[in-house]
Amino acid sequence: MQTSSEKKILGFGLGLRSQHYETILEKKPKIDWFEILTENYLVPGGKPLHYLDRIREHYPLVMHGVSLSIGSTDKLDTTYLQEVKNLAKRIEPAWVSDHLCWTGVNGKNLHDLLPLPYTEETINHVANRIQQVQEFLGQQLLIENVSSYLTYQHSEMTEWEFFAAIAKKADCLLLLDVNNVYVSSVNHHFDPLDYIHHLPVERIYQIHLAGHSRQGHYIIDTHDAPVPAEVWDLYANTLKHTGFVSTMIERDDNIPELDELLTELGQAKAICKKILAEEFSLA
Amino acid sequence: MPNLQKLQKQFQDYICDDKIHIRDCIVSDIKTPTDERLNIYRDAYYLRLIESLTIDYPVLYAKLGDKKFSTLAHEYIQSEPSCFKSIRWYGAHFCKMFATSDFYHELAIFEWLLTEVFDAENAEPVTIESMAAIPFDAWPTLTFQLTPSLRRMDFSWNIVPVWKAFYEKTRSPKLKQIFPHTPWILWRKQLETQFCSLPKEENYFLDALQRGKNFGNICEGLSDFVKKQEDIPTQAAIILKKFLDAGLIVSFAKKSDL
Repeated sequence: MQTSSEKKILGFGLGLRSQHYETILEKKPKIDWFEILTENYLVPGGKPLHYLDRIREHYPLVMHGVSLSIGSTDKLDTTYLQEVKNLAKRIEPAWVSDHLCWTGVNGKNLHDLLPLPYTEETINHVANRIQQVQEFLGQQLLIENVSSYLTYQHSEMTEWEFFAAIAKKADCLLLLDVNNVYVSSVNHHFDPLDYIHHLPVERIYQIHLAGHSRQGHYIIDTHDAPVPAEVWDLYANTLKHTGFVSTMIERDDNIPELDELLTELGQAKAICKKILAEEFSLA
Repeated sequence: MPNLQKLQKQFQDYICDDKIHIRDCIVSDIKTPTDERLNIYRDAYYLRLIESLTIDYPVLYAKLGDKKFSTLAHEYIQSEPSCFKSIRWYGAHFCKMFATSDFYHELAIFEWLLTEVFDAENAEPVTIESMAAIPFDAWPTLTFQLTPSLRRMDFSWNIVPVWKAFYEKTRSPKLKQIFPHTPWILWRKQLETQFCSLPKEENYFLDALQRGKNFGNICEGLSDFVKKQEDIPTQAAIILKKFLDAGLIVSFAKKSDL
C-alpha cells in the first residue's frame, strides 16, 4: 500500500458540480483543484464521465464518496470498491475519501451518513475495515467526521477521541469538516476547539467548509448556504492548530454561480494568509 | 446494550419500519427528546428519497401534483427500500406504483428510460463511409450491433406530446389513448439524448437488427411492408442510412469476421 511520508498540499478547491461544467471548461477559473462526488461518476458513460475527463485535463481532482459505509456491520461491498478503484485509475485523484459513518445494514442503503457509537468495539471494527479498503485500493484513505444529532447511551468516549483513535489504529488520513464539528458542537454542547485540538495534525490532509441551517434546537448540516461567520471563525482557529491544509467549499444544494463560490474561496484564502502570517510567520 | 450489529439493525428499523427498540439506546434530555433526535434521521431519509424521485420524474410530479406524488413516493419507499450504492438508481421501479394500462405508468417508464439513456455506455457510431467499403457480395451476411444506449417502448397513450408540452411550457394536450400502439426508441447520439417514433417497417428492421438477423434475412422480411419486390433493396438502404445517420449502429460484422 502506498503511504505518504510528506503531506500533499493541493491549495484551495471546490466541489465539482454539473451546473459549472461548461463554465469551468470555457473560462478555466483559477481553482487549485476539484473534489468530485465519487458515486456521481460510477456510471457507464455519457455526460458525467465526458466532462470529468475533460476537466481532469486541466485540474487535479480528489474523490469523495458517500456509500462506502465503513462503519456498517454488513460485509464490505467489493463490487462497489472495484468501481471506485476503476474510477481512481481513470482520473488518478490526489486522494480518495469517505465518511466515518454507516449508511445501512442487511443490504439496504439509507443514503445518509449515520452516526456510530464511540466504543472500543467500533474502533476495532472500523479500523479493520479501513485497513482492508486501503489494501484493496493501494492507498491511504481520508476519513471525514460527520455531523450528528444524537448520542448513544453506551458511547465510551468523546467523538474526537474516537476519530483520533481510528486514524491511529487504521493508519488512515483525515478529512476534517469544520462545519460538521461546529454543527455537532451546538447539537451536543461541546467546545469545538476541544475537538480540533485533539486531532493528529499530521494526518489532516483536507478541510471542508460549508453552510448549515437551524431547525428548532438543532443545527442541520444542509450544505445549502454560504459558509457562516461562526464556521469561518472556527476555520481560522483550526488553521492556528493545523497550519495550512488543503481547503475546499462544499455546496450540495442551492448551488450558486461559480463566481459566488470563488468569492467564498477567496475568503478562505484571505483567512489562511492572515493566520499563517500571524501564527507561523508565513505569508 | 446491543452490540454494533444489533444497534444498527434497530436504528434502521426505526427509520424504515417505525420500530422503537433503538430509543433505549439514545441519550435524551428535556429539551431534546429521543424521538425528536431520531426523527431528524427518519425525516431526512424520506425527504432525500422523495427528492431523488422528483428529480427523476419531473413531468410525472407535475402531472400528479405534490400531494399525490408524495403519497405514492412514501408507499414506494416503504415497499422498496434502496439497495443501490448511488441514489441515482433508486427510482428504477417507480413505474410499478401504477397499473400497467395507466397513462402514468407509461409516463414513468419514459422518464426513467431518459435517465438510463443519459449515462448509458458510450459507443462510437459506424459511419456511412466505413460501410461503403464493404464488398457487394458480403452484404447479405452482414450483422449489426446497436448502440448500448438504445431503449425501446410502445406507447398506448400520447406520452411524448404531453412530456414535450411540459418542457416547452406550452398548453398540454389532453390525455388520449392511441390505437394501435406506437413504437418509440430512445438513444444517445454522442452526448445528446434522442427519441423518435418508428414507422412499422423501421420498427421491424430495428427489431431484426436487435435479434442479430443478417442483412439478407432482414431484406426478405421487408417484403411484408414493401409492395414491389424490386423496391426492397432501396427501402432497406434508406432505413439503414437513417439508422446510421442517427448513430444507432456501432459495429457490423461480415460472415467471414465471425
